[in-house]
Amino acid sequence: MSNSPLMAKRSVGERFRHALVHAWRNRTLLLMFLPILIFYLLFSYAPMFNPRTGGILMAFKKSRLNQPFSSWDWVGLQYFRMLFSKPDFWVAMKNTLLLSFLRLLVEFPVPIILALLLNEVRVSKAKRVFQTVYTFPHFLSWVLVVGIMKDLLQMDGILNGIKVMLGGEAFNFLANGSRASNYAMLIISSMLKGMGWSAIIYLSTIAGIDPTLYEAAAIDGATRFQRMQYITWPSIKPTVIILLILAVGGILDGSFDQIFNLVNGINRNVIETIDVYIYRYAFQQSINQSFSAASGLFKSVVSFAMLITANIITRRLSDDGEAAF
Amino acid sequence: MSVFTAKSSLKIQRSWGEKLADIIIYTVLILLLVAILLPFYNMLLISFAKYEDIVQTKLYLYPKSLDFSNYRRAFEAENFANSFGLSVFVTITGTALGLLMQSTAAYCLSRPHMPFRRFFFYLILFTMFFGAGLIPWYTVMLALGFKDSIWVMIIPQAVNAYNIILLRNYFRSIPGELIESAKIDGAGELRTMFQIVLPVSLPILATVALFIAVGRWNEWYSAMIFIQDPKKIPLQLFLRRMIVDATSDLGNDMKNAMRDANIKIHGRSLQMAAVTITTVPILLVYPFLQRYFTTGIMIGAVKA
Repeated sequence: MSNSPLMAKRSVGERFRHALVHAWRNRTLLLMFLPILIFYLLFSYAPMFNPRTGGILMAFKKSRLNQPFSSWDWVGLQYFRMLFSKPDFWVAMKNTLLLSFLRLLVEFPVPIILALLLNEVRVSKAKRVFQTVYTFPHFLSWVLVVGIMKDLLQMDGILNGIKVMLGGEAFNFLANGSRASNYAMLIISSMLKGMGWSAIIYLSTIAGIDPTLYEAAAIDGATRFQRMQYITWPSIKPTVIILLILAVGGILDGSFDQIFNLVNGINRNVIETIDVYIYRYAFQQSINQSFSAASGLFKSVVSFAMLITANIITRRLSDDGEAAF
Repeated sequence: MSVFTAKSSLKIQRSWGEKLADIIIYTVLILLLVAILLPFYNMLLISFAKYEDIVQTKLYLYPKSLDFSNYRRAFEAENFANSFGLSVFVTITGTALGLLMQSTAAYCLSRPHMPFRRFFFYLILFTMFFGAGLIPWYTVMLALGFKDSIWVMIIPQAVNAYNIILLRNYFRSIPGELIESAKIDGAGELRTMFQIVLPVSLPILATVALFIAVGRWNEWYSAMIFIQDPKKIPLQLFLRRMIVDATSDLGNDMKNAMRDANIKIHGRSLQMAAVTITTVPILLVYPFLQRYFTTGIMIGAVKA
């Protein structure tokens, strides 16, 4: 506020004292918040920074089984180099990027289109039925959905039954090395499971549009498609941008639950993503804690950096400084 | 006259276009509806089927008989009923604890005079975008004593950044006068929260409660990592062992053949009966869920 350095100095001290007085006056609120703070410190921040267990620093030391973290030796970036030299890491990386790219291409626009289509349904009962059915699968776990998928897609399942009846040959959808077949299975299943839920946010934005805009446009002779193009779309565009940023930031999150429940020895080469890879090295493959910590940290840092970058780019590109946060 | 005919023909033309658009829209929407419903139909169909019917009928598309024994067998399976009860317990306890913690967090963060409000908010927000990773988290959880404890499915999940933000945004939309008047009456923070803020926030509380409940019912991941005792596994993990582990490739032909022979006899129907049983509780709460989430999310998600 003030230009004088003396005043500024005093105001810092003053502000500190004010903050303490303010905190003391509102100590009930702080006390109420204390359990939540403890939870976050224990379950989110202790895993990151903890002098006893090592936290993310584990990745930079050589782990010794059943020995305290303080006795481990510093090895710098050795485990990151090890990670980058592993062929199966690059396989998982390639699968993750390819799948995420396809998901952005298919699963991202589908809910938008679905919301636009649902918005055109004027029979409110029909609209409710559609929405009820579309949204329901979101609330089921992937374990359950994979259970249903396995029955449909197995060799004696209904899909192969239809295929054989039409003169085709039964195909093992669940255990094959074909990238196309596996990716189609993954994308179609998660599209059907999630599209209704993802459409809700767009639908609620559309519901907030002033209806007189549509009436005015109709009087001016705007067609249905033009109304969609000039009224509906601009109003959902900010939401689309925010969700796109989040989707780009989550490009390394390869839908762990879905893939983990479908992966097996035969399709691993084409569907194993980074998350599943990290899990495999953490609990199934080896007990090298440092290596697992390094692969996890690599993923966390890259995702975080991507999210921040995507946010900055959007802020630059949009004229009114629109961004997710 | 000519103007009149021109106008009416235009109208006919447009309504034809409208009709065509309607046909396309409804066709797409109905196809998607069928694509979602068919797998569930298949699930029910197989769960009520007799083994002979599935084997003898080439394409089993409609029920030939209704056999409830698969459901009985599912409940008789070792530890199934146990897992079911455990999941009910985890869902109820987890929802109660989660709702209390998350609404308290949101209330504090929604108060303008909360000390260090921005700092705490960013502390919570950061966890949505950055995690320590599996192994550092695992070692801390072991150190906290969560090995083989059912509380691993309840306590660490009692806070959730997404829900807290949703609740906070809703609480912030409550008119300030309402809260100030309580202040003048001499109400403390706890009383303001429980007697003023929470009672006017029922839609968002219901939404978040149901989010938490569904999440707890669907829990399997932390149980898979930390729980070894088969008497302490939740229903979803039981289901995973029954379906995923039972049909995944064991990498050994002999083992595969033995396992296949074992589960072929009643495997499919039993699996689908178990899947149906696990779906039913979600189906039961879903109507309540749906009533609230559209409005709840609309107000809660205005700005993160």
